[in-house]
Amino acid sequence: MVNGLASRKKRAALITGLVMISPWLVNMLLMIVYPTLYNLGIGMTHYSGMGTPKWIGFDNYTFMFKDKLYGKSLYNTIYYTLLAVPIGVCTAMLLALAMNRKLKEIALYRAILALPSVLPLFALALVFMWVMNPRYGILNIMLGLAGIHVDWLGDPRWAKFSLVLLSQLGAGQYGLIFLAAMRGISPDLYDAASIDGANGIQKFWRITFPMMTPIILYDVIVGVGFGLQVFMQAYIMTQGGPANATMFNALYIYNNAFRYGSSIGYAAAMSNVLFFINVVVAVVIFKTSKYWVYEETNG
Amino acid sequence: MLKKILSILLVLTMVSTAVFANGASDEKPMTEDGKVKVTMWTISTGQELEIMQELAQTYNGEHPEVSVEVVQVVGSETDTSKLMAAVVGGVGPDIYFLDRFTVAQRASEGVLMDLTPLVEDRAYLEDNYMPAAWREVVYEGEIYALPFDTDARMIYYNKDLIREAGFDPAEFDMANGPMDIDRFKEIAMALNVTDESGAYTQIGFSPFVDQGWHYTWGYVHDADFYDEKAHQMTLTEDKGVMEGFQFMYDWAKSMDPQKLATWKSTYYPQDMSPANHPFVTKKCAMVCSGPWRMDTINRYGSDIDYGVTYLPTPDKSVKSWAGGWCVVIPEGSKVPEEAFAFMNYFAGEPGQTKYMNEGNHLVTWMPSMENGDFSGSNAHLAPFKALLAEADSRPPLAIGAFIWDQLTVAQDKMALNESTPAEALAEAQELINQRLN
Repeated sequence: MVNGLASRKKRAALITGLVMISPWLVNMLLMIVYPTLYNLGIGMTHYSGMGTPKWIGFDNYTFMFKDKLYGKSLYNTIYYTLLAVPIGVCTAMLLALAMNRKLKEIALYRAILALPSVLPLFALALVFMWVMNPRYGILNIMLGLAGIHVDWLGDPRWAKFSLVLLSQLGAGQYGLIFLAAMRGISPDLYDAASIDGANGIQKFWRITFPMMTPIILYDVIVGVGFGLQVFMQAYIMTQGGPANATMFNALYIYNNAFRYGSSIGYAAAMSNVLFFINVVVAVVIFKTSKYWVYEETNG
Repeated sequence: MLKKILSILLVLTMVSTAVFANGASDEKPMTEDGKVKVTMWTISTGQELEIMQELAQTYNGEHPEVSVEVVQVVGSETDTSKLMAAVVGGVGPDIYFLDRFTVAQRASEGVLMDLTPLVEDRAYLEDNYMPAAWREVVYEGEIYALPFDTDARMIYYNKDLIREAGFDPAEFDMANGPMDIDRFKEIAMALNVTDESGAYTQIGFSPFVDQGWHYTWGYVHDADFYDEKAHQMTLTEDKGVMEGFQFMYDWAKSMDPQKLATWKSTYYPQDMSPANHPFVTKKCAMVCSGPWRMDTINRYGSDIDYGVTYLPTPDKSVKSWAGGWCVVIPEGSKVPEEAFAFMNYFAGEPGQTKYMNEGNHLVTWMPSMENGDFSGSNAHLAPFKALLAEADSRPPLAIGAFIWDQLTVAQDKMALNESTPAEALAEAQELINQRLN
């Protein structure tokens, strides 16, 4: 009798819980789980987006091995991610350190430093095209003082790196998260370090950095995800050029899905591989995080 | 409690079904005042869009049972992602304004409705549309579009800058026929100006700007690009293609490839506004472009004393290529008859005559062209019109956009002298063959 009552209560609690999370649950099922499964299926077909997809098994996947453009797009994407993510972590850390200074007008500085990250990426991309203009751009005007002239977007050797630089304008968002983590570190640790005679650099490497590694892990995981899906900057600023130097995987997927004929099946297959790469990288980062992420243990 | 929750879910399901079912209904879309609604999408802007909307208004006035609305949407010549998504979702437009060279591709994808059953007199259309344009709208024997405007490529030259460099602009006069390509290069190189760092501040000409495309320099060198019988692109075997690419390679080499690329990044960046076109800002003395560029120059560079002449060629023969747009009915339209009736008006004599006279465009409806007045504000169209008989058109293939992209990459490599013409073309050919197979 008592057991039955408890069981009914549990069931009612479960139903209430499910109803409470149902908006998220429905959204996830409709917008993530269903498209992912659908995409897995479409990746095994020849499909133009219209009519009935034609089953071709693993042909799309075997074609990837022969497709030099796919290889190039994957190389460009990995190159971008390997540069953008670590540089992004360093930039966010520097911004957080700057925003953590005890200055009277720090609120204003924080707003200025975080501002670019709240602007839409396409707006930043358009502005950045002017910033990077070889002759009139402010970047080259400053570098010109040191005798350096770079054709940022027109030279294949620099085009990818230009987009890496652009991605740093979004570092303010992570800078704020880093700042929150930084301010959560107990002042006692710094006081103790000061008593022991530690200088600023030692405090950073022995206290601040280790205490922030959980947040850095979050930044790296999210950053890698975004890095592997880099698209909009190249779509707006370079269209994949010059000479495919900025043809990223997501842009190549987009071109196949919407610009080239009858290639939605191939685009879906490439998306699935990108998804798989993303999952594997995330798992590897998680698995290896125990070697470098500080975890506070109780007792 | 559970009943309440189920009731709420049931209501939500019914509401969402009603909302989504609306898109899949087979009923004709109607306006509030009981007219059949026909929606046309175009990526055109400015004056072109205004003319299209005026045409719809006039048509609506003459046909009170129909209401045609012309809507501007995002996209580009080869990027029809919005159309694709809308058509697949069952909410596509009834008419779409499409780059004509992609008709074969979109038809093969199944995005376009076959118009053949709607056409009453095919011979009449064939007789009245420009043959090259008509060929582009027919795929595997069926009609998928009605051609609209057309164009051709020529050289615009700044007479003042040419005079300043010590040349006589009369040398460019069309009465002399096309200029020898070596002489053209000689003059262009003399017009280059650099600053103290060696960077170009003005150039004579760049084969990589505006309509200076791979197809342009290929056709100038008598290329075919495509073997119609074998259904194959012939990039590596076609002597004209190779010569066209060699021409671009040599030109970049003569000017220092990286310096020329930097000039382009500076004065002809991606998404540049028309007011900043390097011919308007006098950063280049000559440019290869189409008739629409005249409007840009008149609007933003009214002080420029300029002329228009043939593309330079190795054998002084007249060469150019024509493109243009068309109107199609995407699959899923619930009002194909009404849409096609408007298309006949829009892409027939009334629409094309208005577009030619007021929009400064050449058109494909031959009676409009023959009866057109090419004096006054349309005088500049006359030389472009004269070229149409000689103009080539791009091969209408099911992977036209992919071919265009691979040729553009090969052209980039010429601009940067990254690889030889033979290497770049072999790579492009390999990628294209892979797709075709």
